[in-house]
Amino acid sequence: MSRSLFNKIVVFCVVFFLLILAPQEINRPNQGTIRAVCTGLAIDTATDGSNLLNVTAQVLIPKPGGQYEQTISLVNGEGANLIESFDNMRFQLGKEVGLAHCCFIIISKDVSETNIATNLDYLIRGSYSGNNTVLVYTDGKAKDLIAVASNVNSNEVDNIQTLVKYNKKFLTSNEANLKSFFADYNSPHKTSVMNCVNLNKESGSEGGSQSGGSSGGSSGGSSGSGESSSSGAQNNLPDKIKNDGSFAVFYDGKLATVIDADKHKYFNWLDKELTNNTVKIENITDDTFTNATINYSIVNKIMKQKFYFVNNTPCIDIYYDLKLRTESIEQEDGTTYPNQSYINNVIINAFNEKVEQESQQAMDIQKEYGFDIFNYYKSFNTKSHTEWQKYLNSLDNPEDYMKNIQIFTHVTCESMI
Amino acid sequence: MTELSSRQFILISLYLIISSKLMSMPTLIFDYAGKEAIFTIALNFIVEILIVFLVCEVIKRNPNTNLFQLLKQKFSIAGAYIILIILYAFILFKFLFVLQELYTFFKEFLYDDFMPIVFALPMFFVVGYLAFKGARTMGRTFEILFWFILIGIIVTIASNLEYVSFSRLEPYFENGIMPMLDGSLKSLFYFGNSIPLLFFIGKVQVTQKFTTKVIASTVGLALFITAFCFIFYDVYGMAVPYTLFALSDFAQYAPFILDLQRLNWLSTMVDVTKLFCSASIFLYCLGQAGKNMVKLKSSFYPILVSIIITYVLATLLNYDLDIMKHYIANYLSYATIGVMALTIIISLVFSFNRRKNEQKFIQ
Repeated sequence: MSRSLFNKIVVFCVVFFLLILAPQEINRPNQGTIRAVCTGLAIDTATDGSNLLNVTAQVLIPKPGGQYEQTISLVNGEGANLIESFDNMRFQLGKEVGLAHCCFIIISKDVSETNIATNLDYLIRGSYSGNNTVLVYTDGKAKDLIAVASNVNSNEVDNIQTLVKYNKKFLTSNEANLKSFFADYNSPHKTSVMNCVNLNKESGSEGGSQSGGSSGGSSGGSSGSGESSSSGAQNNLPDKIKNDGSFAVFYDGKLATVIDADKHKYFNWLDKELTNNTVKIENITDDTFTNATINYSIVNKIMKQKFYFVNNTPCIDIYYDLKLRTESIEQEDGTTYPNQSYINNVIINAFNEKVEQESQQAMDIQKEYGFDIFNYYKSFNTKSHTEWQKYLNSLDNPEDYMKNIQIFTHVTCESMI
Repeated sequence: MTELSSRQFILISLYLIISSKLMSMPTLIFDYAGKEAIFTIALNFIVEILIVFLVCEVIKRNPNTNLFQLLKQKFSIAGAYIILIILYAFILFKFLFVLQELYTFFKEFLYDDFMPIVFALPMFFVVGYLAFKGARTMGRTFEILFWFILIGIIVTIASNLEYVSFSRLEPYFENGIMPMLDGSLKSLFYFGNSIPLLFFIGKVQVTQKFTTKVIASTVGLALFITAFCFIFYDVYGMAVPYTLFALSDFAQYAPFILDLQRLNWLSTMVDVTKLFCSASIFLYCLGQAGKNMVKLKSSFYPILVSIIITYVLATLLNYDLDIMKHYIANYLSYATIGVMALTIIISLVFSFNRRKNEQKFIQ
């Protein structure tokens, strides 16, 4: 082929493609008119007692104009599963529900009593939503919580994302998102953790009005195919979002229990990743103090675990190397200790006792409900596959493997000024 | 006539090898090999590196003869045609698969309503143009794009490093080595990408330590891809089967970018660029095979015919990547064993014969 002919063909192709593709692209409607940007989801069961799911979506509506403006709306849809619920929402919106920017999914207590993996399967399969979409559990109605979250002024702290991000760093090292939920669900230990965020009903009742009340608040809350409306303007005093550090544990896709804020700190001892903790040692009586209460913060926690078997019983030795900072000393008679840090053998013994007691309590809770937050299944299986299988075979129900696991803690403390 | 410098040839081999390996491959291997997928990848890379080594030796020993001439010399005209037809068919499926991946990528990550023809026309135009312009143009283009692709992949990997535990999938080999071997067989199609390098025989300017340089880069890339897959499997754990394209899902995940939304714009550009590059290499090889078979001066018509055949096949398969993956696992990977064996045999024959000639010359 001659060079000139080739060049003519190339030019022809370019012009041809431009003629075909350019008008199509120029006339393409903007994404805002064909797609609603969903930034959060709330999943409840239907209010009429049927097995239907009631899904509320927090949707951003961009407004055309010189400035970047947008409003948040809540759209509600019901269906036997998420797909049907989204179909209903599409009819309400007249648009596709785009889930790519969905940052959180709130799951209510009602829904959590069934296997939520079957419901969430639609979201993780394909590329509908990001795998890092955070999962949040709430004791009440999920749509109430999302209604309040939609009201949140950008200057306030009550933002679900912000709270969950904080939790990840200081309360649960688990990522608690779609990916981690399914990874855990498909693993032998079947245990996954979710942040628990609730509504502080007191503030709502004080205000005499609830933004996302039982009727569904701004979303309208109809049990039909759903409706959309702007939230926020109608509410007098909104409820506050309560994040007290509790978390929900799911076993095999169903809610096992909710660990409240008091018990949460027990689990922190077994979590390798978490270092930021404060510890209160009470009733310290030594040469300096009598019945003093000393608060320490753990500046650094090095935790080493040793897994082994003794007579077909799985055992864990946990060695802690703690770097402590003395935060406050409370003494009834007002005795003061001028130096910045206060650590001696009495304190170390008290620490040993406390760590042993609290980690044992965390283990007892896991044994009671049969879940395995820290994936000891994998640790023992990796340590010795044969002995672990032998142990599992010796059990009447191999899924109850947690019940015989023994832990032994060993603590060394150092002061860090 | 040599068209490529050693450096450009190395880049072409790297683009070929990386082609689909950061896309659908990690998930497909995990489906069959399970937790042992990472060992499957390492095992299959050994075979791929072996083929690269043998082809390099052939290139080194036959600097002025192209594949078709060598085939005619050693296997007669009929044999040469049969081998070329087998290679043509194999590379056509490779090209078809890259096309399917690209289309699925656009449809899943960029556009919802996406007509195949709107995708196919510009794609074939760009890829066809690059393939027609020849090895030298491709080599230069790849030199420009190389650092962009490498940095894009590294940034994507780095975004998830915080979540690597290095032990999420332990213990390995709970069910013996059979899952690993099964995964290895079912995914061999992905590791036959070095076979098209045969079409660069006689077109490379061989420099000192040519084979060493090519093998070192290939091993480096193999380690890089294996490390990527290890991190990907480690971060996703048992959720790997829910992923579609490894690099994109990986970029989309990164929990720390929750506030910034997604990092996948970067992986989108990287994925599309490297697939376009590898598609153009496959099409170039198809053009060379067709040109030699029909004895044409230009590769324009063979490229055009290859594009038409691929388009028809893709339309018949409805651009469905799942169907293609099914064919890969159940048929094409087994066929790849035969093509790999053929490549090894002809590479050995070319190398061995040259050595005999060299000995005669010395006597």
